[in-house]
Amino acid sequence: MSKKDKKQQSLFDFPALKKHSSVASSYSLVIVIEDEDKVEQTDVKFERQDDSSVTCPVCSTKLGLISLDLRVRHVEQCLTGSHEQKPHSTEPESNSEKPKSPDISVKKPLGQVQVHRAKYVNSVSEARKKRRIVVSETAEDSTEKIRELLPSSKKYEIPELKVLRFYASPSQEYCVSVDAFNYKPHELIRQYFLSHFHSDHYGGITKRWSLERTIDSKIIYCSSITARLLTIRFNIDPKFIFDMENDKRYIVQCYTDGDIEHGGKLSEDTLPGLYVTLIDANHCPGAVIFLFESVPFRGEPTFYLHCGDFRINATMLNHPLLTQFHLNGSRKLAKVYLDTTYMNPSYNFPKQEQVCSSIANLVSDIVENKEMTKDSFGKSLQSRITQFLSSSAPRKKKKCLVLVGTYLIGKERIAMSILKQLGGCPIYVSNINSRGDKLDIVKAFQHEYLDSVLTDDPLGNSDHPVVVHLVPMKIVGTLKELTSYFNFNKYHDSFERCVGLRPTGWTFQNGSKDNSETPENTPESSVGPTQDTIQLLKTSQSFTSQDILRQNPYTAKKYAKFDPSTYRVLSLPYSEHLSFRELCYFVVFLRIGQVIPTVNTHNPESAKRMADIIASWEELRRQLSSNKNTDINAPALSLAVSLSDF
Amino acid sequence: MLEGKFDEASLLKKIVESIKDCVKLCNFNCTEHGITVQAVDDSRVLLVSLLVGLSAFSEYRCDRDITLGIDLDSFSKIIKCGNNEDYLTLLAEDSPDNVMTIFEDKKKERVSEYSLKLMDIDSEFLRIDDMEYESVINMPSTEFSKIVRDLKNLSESLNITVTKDLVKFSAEGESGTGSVVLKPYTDMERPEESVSVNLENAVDLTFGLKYLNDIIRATALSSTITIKLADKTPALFEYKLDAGGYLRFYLAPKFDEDD
Repeated sequence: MSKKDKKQQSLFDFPALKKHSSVASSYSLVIVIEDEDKVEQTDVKFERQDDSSVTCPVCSTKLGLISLDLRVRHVEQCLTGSHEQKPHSTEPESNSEKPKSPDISVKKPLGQVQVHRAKYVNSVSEARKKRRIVVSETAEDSTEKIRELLPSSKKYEIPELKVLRFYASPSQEYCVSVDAFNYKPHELIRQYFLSHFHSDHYGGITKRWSLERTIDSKIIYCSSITARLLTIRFNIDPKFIFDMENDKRYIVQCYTDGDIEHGGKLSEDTLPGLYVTLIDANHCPGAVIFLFESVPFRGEPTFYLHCGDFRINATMLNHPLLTQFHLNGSRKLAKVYLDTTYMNPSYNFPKQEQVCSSIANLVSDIVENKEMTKDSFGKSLQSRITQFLSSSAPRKKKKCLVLVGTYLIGKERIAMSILKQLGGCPIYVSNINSRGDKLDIVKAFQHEYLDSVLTDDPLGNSDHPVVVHLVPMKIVGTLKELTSYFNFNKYHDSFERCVGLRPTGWTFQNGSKDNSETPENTPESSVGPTQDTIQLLKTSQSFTSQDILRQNPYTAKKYAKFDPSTYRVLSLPYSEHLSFRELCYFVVFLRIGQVIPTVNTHNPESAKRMADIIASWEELRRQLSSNKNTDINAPALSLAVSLSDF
Repeated sequence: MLEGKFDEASLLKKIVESIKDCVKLCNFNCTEHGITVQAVDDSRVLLVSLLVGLSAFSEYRCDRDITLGIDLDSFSKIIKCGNNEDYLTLLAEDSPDNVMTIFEDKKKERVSEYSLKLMDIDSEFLRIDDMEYESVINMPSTEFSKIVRDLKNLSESLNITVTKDLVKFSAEGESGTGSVVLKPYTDMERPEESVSVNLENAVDLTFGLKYLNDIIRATALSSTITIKLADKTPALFEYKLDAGGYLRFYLAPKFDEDD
């Protein structure tokens, strides 16, 4: 490592150039401290003068001597309680020190290639991670002594989009926020709702976050799964979390008496106050949409629906709590905060159920080796050299290893549909690239069926011919990643094939027949936007396993370096956000006062475009409702479209 | 102590280029009889077996058996630093941490030295018994290379059938089919251009073209290739080194799933 001790010199270090100090100032970032002891200076290039005065706000370790980057990382780890070494990246370093100890036979440090390969290997030991949790629980005791709020480093105010304002009376306002954790404490808000456990929504939450805002009150409001995840990942003390069950009505604020004891309670009252009901969002596990009901001192209650991230299906549209807002319903949603991720006519992907059943059928066809899969996977199967030359008797191989790409959480539904179709094949949660808590996270879903098929053996603990792995999305991103995962784990001794599933709505290529649905491309656009929308609503597209194969063709070029009869990556038009068509259903068939997009709002152009689309949908809704009420208008016949067409 | 000197750097250069794409990491086993390598590719379909015999070296000395765990990508970069005609010497201590590669220009007084860090590479040694092959084909290596490159564009698999006095290579793909038929042929002037087929039993085997494409990277090592085939058995593709030794590839066939 001696080569690294030499630091890059600046031109201005040399006397001949030093006179031009005015020039140097414009290069402030490359100024090097004039120090003799080069040894100490490996990392620190600036901010040395702070020295020992800098300490970690959580554990008080002196941080003055390490670089800003490392300080930030240290504090972040303290806050999340994850002070463990990253399993792979540091191993070579610790190994390289080992030769000094005489007890083991001299081991060479791992080469770069070996380190790279180790990153793909599922580790067996979970022990280290378990210990970490115990340690962090004892560390929590110290925080209980805190009697005043900690300062927050966050700089920005919560944007208005994330603040929900309710009115007990015209002069008395009460506000809460949804998915706003990355901002400085708000003087009025004492209840922060979290819709689901994805980083773009919980971003900003740390162990310390609650302590900056409250001493000991309930402050984070979420579903019980999300609550468990917050505790597993961030060590958030449950005393700060108010967890709620779906489909139950809670009162969270009383307008006459103020805060409710313990943060809230189940209630069917109609007393003035703020009530909330959680409805499953059909997004990731634990994701919900919030139905807020504010009962003022005088007058009718006001309803707001905050959708977080969600995807509707027929069940959800007909949810008992939402039918009252249907066109013929008795109530109206004053505001809907809408997940507009795919608010663009080109994102017209098939229904989630269709994609799930198609891929489940395809995997089962592969296992049963149907003619159709032979056509696309090749008629023959690659054997392994080791089965001819190994001394040990060849093992019976399993048919197929199915890799399902997931984010930290989400996309599990694809795996579930395959498991069910195949009659409960085992599922394994890969721990590569994770903090080692991925299995705990899956267990936190407390999903009865999933728990029954979960295994800690990557090769599956049963005779089932298929094993499903949940893997990071990166692994199913390219064939190279997929083969690395398969080969470096030596799965070729146990499986004949490996199929990777890459679920994402973005990759979907519209089939030719679907193009007619984009208003710009169709000659009928002269008929008017309403007709286009009706056509969109009425056209329900089909999606089968053939479509999956058609969208993922074999090409000699793509598979030049890979064996296509062994390895396959299939992209699926699977999304956990609403498609354009579903957005349309949602806006047209619910009585909504104001639709507020929550995604893609920063770009004025897309904001304008979304507003136009919403306006045209609202226009259709008006026509549909007036049609129902009066039943006189003749042209209204063409408006024959209803929720049942979904 | 290992000290092996090649009269020309080009031989080792060609060997490393031949195998570095299918096996990234491998052990060079040095004994008093020369240097051997046995390695399996990551997907465990292709086995590489190399012998560089004593006669390939102009000077060779190896007192104790030494294993050199080498990252071929890095080694390849070093080997490329020498000129083809340079003397090339490999130097390593007993239980070494690194291996030295020394190039000496034959005319000019120019010596370059490179040291490569070694690794511990675990590999299970597969015993290759002398297998009984049902047909043996000898043909020009460039001819075989051309067949593989041409048919690779059509399909992912290459079918090889050998019947009486005839070898047929064929591929079938979405866009069409193709085949090349060879019959025995003797060229007295240039024996390396000859094709011979020795047949005991007819064979019909299918191989992944991706792996055959890895194999033909060794074409530069020898003007001829020997292909040995038997039903339901890995095929052997052998390039003999003129200087002494061989580079062999054992390739596992593809089977119909119903078998």
